[in-house]
Amino acid sequence: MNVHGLEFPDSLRYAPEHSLWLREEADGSLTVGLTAYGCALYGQIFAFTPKRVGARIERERSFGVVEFAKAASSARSPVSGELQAVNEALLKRPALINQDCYGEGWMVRLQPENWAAVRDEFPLGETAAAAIAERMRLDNFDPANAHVQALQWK
Amino acid sequence: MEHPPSQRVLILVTSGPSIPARCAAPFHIATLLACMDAEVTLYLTGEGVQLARREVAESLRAAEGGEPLQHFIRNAKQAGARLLMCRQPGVQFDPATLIAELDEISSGGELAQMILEYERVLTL
Repeated sequence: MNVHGLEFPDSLRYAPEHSLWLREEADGSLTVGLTAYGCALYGQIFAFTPKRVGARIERERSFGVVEFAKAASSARSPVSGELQAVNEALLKRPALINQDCYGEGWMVRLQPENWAAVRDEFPLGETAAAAIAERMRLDNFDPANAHVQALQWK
Repeated sequence: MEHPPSQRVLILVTSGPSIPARCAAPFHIATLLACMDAEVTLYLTGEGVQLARREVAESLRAAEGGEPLQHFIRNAKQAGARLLMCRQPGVQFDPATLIAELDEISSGGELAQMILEYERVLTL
């Protein structure tokens, strides 16, 4: 699906408040990455530093820090769980997030707690598109001017 | 949901306008630490108290062509860091000349207390 010119694969779940996507893996873990909207907000990402594998992450707490041109920001976890893996390729090539945010630019893998109870909070498809569009509206996001906004953000 | 207690980090900022290249780093480190959920206090002391003067914060640049110090101070504050300045006996500052980001002017005794209580103390 496409929201204001940005791509959001239909197969993924989304946490619009966090500008993150979530993919449910066969082993019950969640792969997490930044959405195209998150990339537009941050602009060019210079570094992503995750917490250590094995760390317990509470919901709304940081699983890492993203550094970009003008500042840095927490990557906050939409679920509680254990940090099971990090994308080590990003340590050397953080630009992968900008280049392929839904593929090689994935950020971390979490083993969520009580996923069945919170799963429906993370929409798919058209419900996700509406929530992302609403997030953009609240942020006063102007898709025609995304690059400039990325530089001014924060 | 209750969050576990954060690690507390105290950053003593002793660098000032005589060494511009060292002045942005404490604030950037504070930003990163706060983004990692640490509870961060920046404490301006020694020459570092000069950084709380608006005219210094707006004009001082750690790198030629880079952002003024105020940019790094604001980032640290937005990330959640607290900014304190040492009360220096005999040195008077007009509060109107100080940056709005300053949370408090604090005593040396309060600094000593924080040094004893915090998990990490850095001097930058």
